[in-house]
Amino acid sequence: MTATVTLAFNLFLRQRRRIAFWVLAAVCLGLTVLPFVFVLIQRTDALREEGMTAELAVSGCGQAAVFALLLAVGLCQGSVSQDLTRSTVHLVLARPVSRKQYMAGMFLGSVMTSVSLYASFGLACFLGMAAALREHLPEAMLSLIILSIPVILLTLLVTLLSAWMPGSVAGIIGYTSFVFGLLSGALERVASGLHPFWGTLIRGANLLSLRLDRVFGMAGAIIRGESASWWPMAWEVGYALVILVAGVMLFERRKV
Amino acid sequence: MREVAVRAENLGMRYGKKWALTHLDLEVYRGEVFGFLGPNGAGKTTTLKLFTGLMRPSSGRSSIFGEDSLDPVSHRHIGYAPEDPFLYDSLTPDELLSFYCRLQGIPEGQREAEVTWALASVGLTEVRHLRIKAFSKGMKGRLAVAQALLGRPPLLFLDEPTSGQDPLARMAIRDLILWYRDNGGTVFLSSHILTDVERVCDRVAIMNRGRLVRLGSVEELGAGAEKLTVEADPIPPSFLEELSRRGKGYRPVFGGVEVDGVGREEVPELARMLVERGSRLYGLHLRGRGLEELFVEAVESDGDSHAGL
Repeated sequence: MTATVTLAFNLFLRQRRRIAFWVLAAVCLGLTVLPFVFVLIQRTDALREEGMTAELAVSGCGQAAVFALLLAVGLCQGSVSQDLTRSTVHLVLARPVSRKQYMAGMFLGSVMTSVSLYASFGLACFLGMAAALREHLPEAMLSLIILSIPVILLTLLVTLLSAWMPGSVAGIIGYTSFVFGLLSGALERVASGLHPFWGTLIRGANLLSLRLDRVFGMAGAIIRGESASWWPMAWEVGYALVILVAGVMLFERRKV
Repeated sequence: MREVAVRAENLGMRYGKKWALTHLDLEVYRGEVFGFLGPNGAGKTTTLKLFTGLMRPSSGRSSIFGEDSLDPVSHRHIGYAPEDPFLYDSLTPDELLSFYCRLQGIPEGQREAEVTWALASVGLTEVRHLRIKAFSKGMKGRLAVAQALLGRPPLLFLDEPTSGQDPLARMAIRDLILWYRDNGGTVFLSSHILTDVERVCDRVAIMNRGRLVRLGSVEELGAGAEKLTVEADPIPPSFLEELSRRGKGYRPVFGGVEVDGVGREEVPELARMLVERGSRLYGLHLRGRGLEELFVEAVESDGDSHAGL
């Protein structure tokens, strides 16, 4: 356990030393929070009259999660693959550290990196809402917590991939999973409309999809005060656990 | 009976259809400096990776102080400095070594002292707060040695530790290896720099094409095969005839003659023969075969004349 946490903090420290970390974080924070706060300040009264404040809160939370997801793929795609290609893993595994501990440490470090970014985006959105949109604050808080699950899931997936392929390939698959995960529901509806065969095909493919759309829909429903099923979150958590266990077990047989 | 630090039993490693290492049986004892030599592709790095548990063998097994080397618990006993080490270059030596101290399980109260000692041992104290990315190849090599020293494990695996080092650093690393041995440590040294191996190793193993072809001390491997360089003027033909009669090979060199296969006890008699024949004797230099000659002979006799030194 100690070795796992040590490895995680080491990865987190190294990520924070990357200039790309701070540049991307600053850019995404600006893109996420500044427009949101600007709209909050300028348009809250008008939106309140139109009954659209919940939509504003939904968009704020959604933006924070989407930008965190984008960053998670970019930052974590090389977490293990760089250790393997540069052979830095040798100096770790030549110590009393098992492969399971190593891989668990990489997972934890990657999650710490992406969640810390997401937390900063989410906190900024939350503070903006606390200042100008208090009526949705508890629901927004819950939604932000729920939306951290897809961020963690995608981070775990990309970290797992980076243990078995070059970082760039892991990144491409990660971004594809991100896009397909957001569009999976819409694709299913469009495909079913075209032909039952295509609908079945996409439904089958969606069994492997991250189904990010359903979690985003769930978070939106909570902010709007609508009834929401917790199944999408259970799916995401289950998926994350499968990736975690598979990643740790498979790395046991990995040549380094 | 000497304690075995490293043991290989029928150890083999196959990459696809090609065996990189076959039937290695080897014992390295506690308290010795063991040289591990071989041309490129001889299987040295593969062997080191098997001993350090980085790879699973295709056949046989290896152990460290009796514990299977695949078991991470056995890694408590070892320090490993690879050739061309890649270190986390966004960190400073202080941060890097503290990280490895934690992985090694060194208690928090001892970490600072351990890091300071390891850095001082390789002469990197003054740069302990600089980022590693600014380091030269030689400094990175020394830092790799420093991380291997953390926790003062009883067994060090050093892969080309003096490669890329300036003469002073090479000397310091050689002294460090000898100091380690004198303090009860065992050092498994893989190197291409045969003069270093010759100076510090108690025993050597020579590998070629994945097989062990020689094993023993430098003296054992080269026993009874010394060369005598005779500086004299003139070299009487009767002296050369006497050498031929005794079955000694010889060749003229500048200022004299070099004679093969001369035992130490024969030297006074050869000197007397020269003087009796009216020759002026300026010098006699007896030397054993160097490790380099042993190495080339071992590799060539194994059927490979292209030792990749």
